[in-house]
Amino acid sequence: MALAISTEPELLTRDDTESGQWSVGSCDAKRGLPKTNVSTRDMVVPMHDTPKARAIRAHEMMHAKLSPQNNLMDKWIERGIASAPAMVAVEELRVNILCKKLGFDMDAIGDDGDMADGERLVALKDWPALVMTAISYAETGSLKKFLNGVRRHDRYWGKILGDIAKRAVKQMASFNHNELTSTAPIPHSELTPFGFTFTEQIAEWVDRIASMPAPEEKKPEGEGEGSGSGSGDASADSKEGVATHSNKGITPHQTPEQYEAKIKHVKPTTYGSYVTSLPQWTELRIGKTNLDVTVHGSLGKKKIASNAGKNPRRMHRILTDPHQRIFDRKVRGKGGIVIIDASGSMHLSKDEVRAMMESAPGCTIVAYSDLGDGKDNAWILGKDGKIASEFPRMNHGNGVDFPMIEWAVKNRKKSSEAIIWVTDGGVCGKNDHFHDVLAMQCIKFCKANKITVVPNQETAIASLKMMQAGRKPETIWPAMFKQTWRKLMGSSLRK
Amino acid sequence: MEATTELPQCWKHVQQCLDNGIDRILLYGPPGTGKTYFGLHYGNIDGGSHRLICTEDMTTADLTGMFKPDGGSFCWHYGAGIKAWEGNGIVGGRLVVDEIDKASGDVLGELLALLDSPESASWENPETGRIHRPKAGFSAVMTTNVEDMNDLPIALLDRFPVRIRINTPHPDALAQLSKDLQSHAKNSADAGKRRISLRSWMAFDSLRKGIGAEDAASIIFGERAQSILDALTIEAV
Repeated sequence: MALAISTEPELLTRDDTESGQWSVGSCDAKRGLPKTNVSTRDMVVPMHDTPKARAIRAHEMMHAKLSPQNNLMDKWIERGIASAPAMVAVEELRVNILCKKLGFDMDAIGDDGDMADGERLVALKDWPALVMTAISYAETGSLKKFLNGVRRHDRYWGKILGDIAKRAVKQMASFNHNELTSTAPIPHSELTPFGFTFTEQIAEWVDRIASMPAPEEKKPEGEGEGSGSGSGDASADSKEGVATHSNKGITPHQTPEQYEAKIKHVKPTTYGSYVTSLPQWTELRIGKTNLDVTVHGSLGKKKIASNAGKNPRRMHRILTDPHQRIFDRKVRGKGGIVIIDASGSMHLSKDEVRAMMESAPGCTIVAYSDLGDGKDNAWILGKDGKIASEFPRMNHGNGVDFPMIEWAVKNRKKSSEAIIWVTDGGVCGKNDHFHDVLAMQCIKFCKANKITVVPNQETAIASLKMMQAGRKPETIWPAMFKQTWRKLMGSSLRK
Repeated sequence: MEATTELPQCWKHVQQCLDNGIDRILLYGPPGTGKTYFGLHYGNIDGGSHRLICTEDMTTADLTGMFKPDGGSFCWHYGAGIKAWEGNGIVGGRLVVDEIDKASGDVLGELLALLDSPESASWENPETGRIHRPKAGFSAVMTTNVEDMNDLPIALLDRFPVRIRINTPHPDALAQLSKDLQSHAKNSADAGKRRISLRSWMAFDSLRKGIGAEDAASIIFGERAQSILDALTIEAV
């Protein structure tokens, strides 16, 4: 039996937390068993004297040196810029790149289980999981085996995933080394460490790639026989599995070449070199207003025919309707939430705001604008048939665009309740600067939650009228959102 | 020697005690953190400092004194305890007793008498009959690696109401190491089973300059050489 080797996490220092004694346990050199908890200072690593165990120990030690404390990870997830699985995958990548740079033999990591992972995920046609796994295995021996597993069933997916992993490595390696490895806290933020901002940037890009429709099969003549298994079963699986790529998201008209070209245009964002430029939102603080004016009516409320009632207002139906629905019945409106971006760039006058409020009877109307003074930055101007006659001071910065739309989604009574967001797309965070990553966060959220976005007061009123008429309003993306989308996704922002 | 950088919390407490007239301090914690060095060199030591290392074989002679042959006759030689009492003849000195937990019953009994309050403490010279009392300014620093204070005699603990756990090397001691090793020495001083003493780091530091880090680690750290070198590499990222 190989000699037991320990590991020395106590020797590591960080700028964001005190050093101290660690609890170190041993495990087999198998995926999923080694782990590191920076908050509780627990580490479990293989203690065998083998190249693989040594590489795993280096990997876990690098986590102990650089990765966020586990109890602070929630704060990164709450930001909503990137998903938790993407951040975990990209953090693996960051750690693996740095270990390799220091001379550790990361190719020693990897076994047949990685190949099985590839085969299993292709069989499940789980494109997002394939992307995440390829990223997390990059710069280790696992990636080659994983891609071999993928290629056994789908050569084309294997190629695309290899390209994505290469791009992620290239992007991560392009960052300033000192900043990439910094464990300093981020100024004006509860977030730490600074180096993790690079993980978040790439993770946001990975999320966008993973959420794209899966690439369509590329099946040239003679391929699909499996690239190494040589077994009859494998080729049969390959033919069967690949030929039925009718999974979610595949766009039948898209050729492999088109897909490759499309994915190349999906670009990561960059936060810049300065710590103060970290894009982040201000905390949403909803202030009180006096809702003193009653507005009659309710958006979407209407009368429909009924076969029971007091006054027969639809007598003609006695002859035309088989159910003889000659009475009226009131149907409650679905209501809605109107979010008004009341920042300076919108140039909204009080009359224009009032016009929108009057066009949205029965709706919840909220307006927001952050002054950067720590005071209220959002106000409910209308609710339950009442609106405010006096408006608070607005027309300043944005600050809370995303928290506001997030609040609206959390507060809608039913998932079918419409949300209209009136904004010019000039979304700004804490430092009142527009940033693509913040704009992209809003776009993704609006798409996912079916929020209707309109760029100005006129389109807002037109949309509200459509709602009153029982029709569904359409999103008209503001120019700034369109620009962001084109810049980061390389395509047009569609409804 | 004075502290060159900001003191860690434990050392700050010790310094504050010395600066505010506390003359009995018990320092405990992992070895190799400079407890003895601090006792011998810091605070008011105008009266000199005298060190004792307790072992099971030690006798009270090391504390109070003994007759030694001197040119055909025997004359009395004072032990470290009485020397510290007398100091420089004007002010009392400092008595530093290491490994206090290893003191035998006899030594401990004598030590308790020496460390009694100045009003009660006295000792008679068997040769001259002179009564010695601790001079003003006498102080005592005890050190031990015992972590649980309940393992020490109650009477001794009673004489040392100030008990401070030292868990990190003194910055002045760390300053003797190469800069790249200072944080490691600091962090590993109190790392439980994986503790690496300051002395080991100093030996490694010296040896690596001559034969390279890998060989030096192999000699100093033995089986842990690879994992320590890997940790140093990752720390330098």
